[in-house]
Amino acid sequence: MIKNLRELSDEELILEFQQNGTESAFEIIVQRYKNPLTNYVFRFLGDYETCNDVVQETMIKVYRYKDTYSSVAKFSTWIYTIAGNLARTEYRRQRRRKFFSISDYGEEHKQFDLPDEVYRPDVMTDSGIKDEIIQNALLNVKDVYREAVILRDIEGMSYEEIAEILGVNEGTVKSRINRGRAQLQELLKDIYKD
Amino acid sequence: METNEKKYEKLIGDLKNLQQIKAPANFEADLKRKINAEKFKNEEKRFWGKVFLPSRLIPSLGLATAAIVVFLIVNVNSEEMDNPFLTEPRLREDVVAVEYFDTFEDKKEGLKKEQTVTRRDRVNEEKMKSPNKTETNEKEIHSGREEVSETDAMLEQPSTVMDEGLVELETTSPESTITELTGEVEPTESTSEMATGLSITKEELNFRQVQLSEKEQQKVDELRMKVQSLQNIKKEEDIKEQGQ
Repeated sequence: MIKNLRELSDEELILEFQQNGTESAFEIIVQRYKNPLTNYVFRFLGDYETCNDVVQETMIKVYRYKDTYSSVAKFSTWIYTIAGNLARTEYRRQRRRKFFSISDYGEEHKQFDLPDEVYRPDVMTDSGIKDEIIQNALLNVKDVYREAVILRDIEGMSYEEIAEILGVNEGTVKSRINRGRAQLQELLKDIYKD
Repeated sequence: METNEKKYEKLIGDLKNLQQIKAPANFEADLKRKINAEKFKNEEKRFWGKVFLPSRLIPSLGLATAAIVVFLIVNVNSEEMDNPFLTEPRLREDVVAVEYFDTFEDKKEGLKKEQTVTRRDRVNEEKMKSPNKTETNEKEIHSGREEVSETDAMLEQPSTVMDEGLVELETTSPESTITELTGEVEPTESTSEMATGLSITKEELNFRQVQLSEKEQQKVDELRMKVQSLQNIKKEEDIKEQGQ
C-alpha cells in the first residue's frame, strides 16, 4: 500500500488524504516537502530554528486544512503559498521584535544561525564561507525581492508558479526578481568584481 | 529577460549551487507530536464548547442578565400606580368624625369653629388630625358661604339637630360631638343652610344621582297622590271621630 502511495503524485496523495484520511499519504507529502520548504524558509528568514517551526506549522496547516485544497491548483504552489505566508508573518514579527528589543542594542547583530548538522563550522569549506556571505547578502535584500529571487534562482520555479505563490502577476514577478538580483549583485560586488 | 539572466549569470549560478538546507532528523516525530496535541486540544475545546456557549455570546448574555436583574429590582421597589383614566371614581361613603370636649362650654366654642361640610373623605380625616388645616381646606372647597351669624345662632342651642341628612350632631353625651356625613340622603337646601350656613348644590356632591324616566316619574307621582289622598281620608276620619 505504502509502496503504491509513493508512486502517486502530490495531487493524488493529497486527494487520497482528503477522501480516505490516509495518514501515510500525508507522511509521504511531508517527506517530499520538508527539505525544499526548509531550504526556502531558511533562505528567507536566516534562522534555522524559526525556519523549522515555520515548516512544521506549514505541515500542520496542510493536515488541518486539507479539505481547502482544490485540485485545480498545483499542490506545490499551494504548500509553498502556505509556507511563504507563514514565513512572511514570522519575518515581520522578528523585525518588530528587533525594533523594540533593548537587549539587541550594542550587541553584534547576528544575521542567521547555522543549522546543527548541515552548517557546522568544523566542516565548513571555502564554498561554505561563500555560501554564508551570499546568505548574509540575501538577508539584506528587500523581502519582497528576496522571496522572488529565492523561488526563482534557488528553488528553480517558473515565473507562473512564483506569480501564483506570491499572488501577483508575472510581470511583477520578473521585475522583483530583476531588482532583487541587482541588489544582491551590489551587496556582493567584492565577489563579482569582474 | 535573457540579457538580464546573462548579466547575473554568475550570481544565479552561485544561488543555484548554495548548499541545500535540510530539515532536522526528528522533524517528522516532532510534527506527529504537534498534530496529536492539536487533535487533543480540539477535542477538549469541543467538549467545553458543548458545556458552555460560544465565548462570543458570553458578554451579550451577561448584559441581558444584568438588564433583567435591574428591571426586577426597579419593578419590585416601585409602587403600583393605577391609571386614573381607567379606574372608576370612588363614591362617597359615610364618614364619622368625632371630637371630644371636656365641658359643655368647650363644645359650644368648638362647634362655632367647626366647619362641618366637606367634599372628600380625606378632608375629614385631616380634620380629625388638625382642625386648623381643615379650616383652610373648607375655604377652598365650599362656595356660596353665607354669614356665620346664623350658624352661630343655631349653635347656641346644643340640642338642635343641625342637618338631617348631611350633618348630624349627636348631643346625647356632653363629652363628644359626632359629625356624620351621609352620601345617600339628600339634604334640603333650607336645612343645610340653617345648620351650616352653607348652600350645597347636588352637583357639588359626589352622589349617585338616579335619573327617573318619564314612566317612572309618573308612577311616583301617582303613588304620591294616592298617599296624599289616603292621608286626607285619614284626617277627615279623625276629624269626624273628634266631632262625635
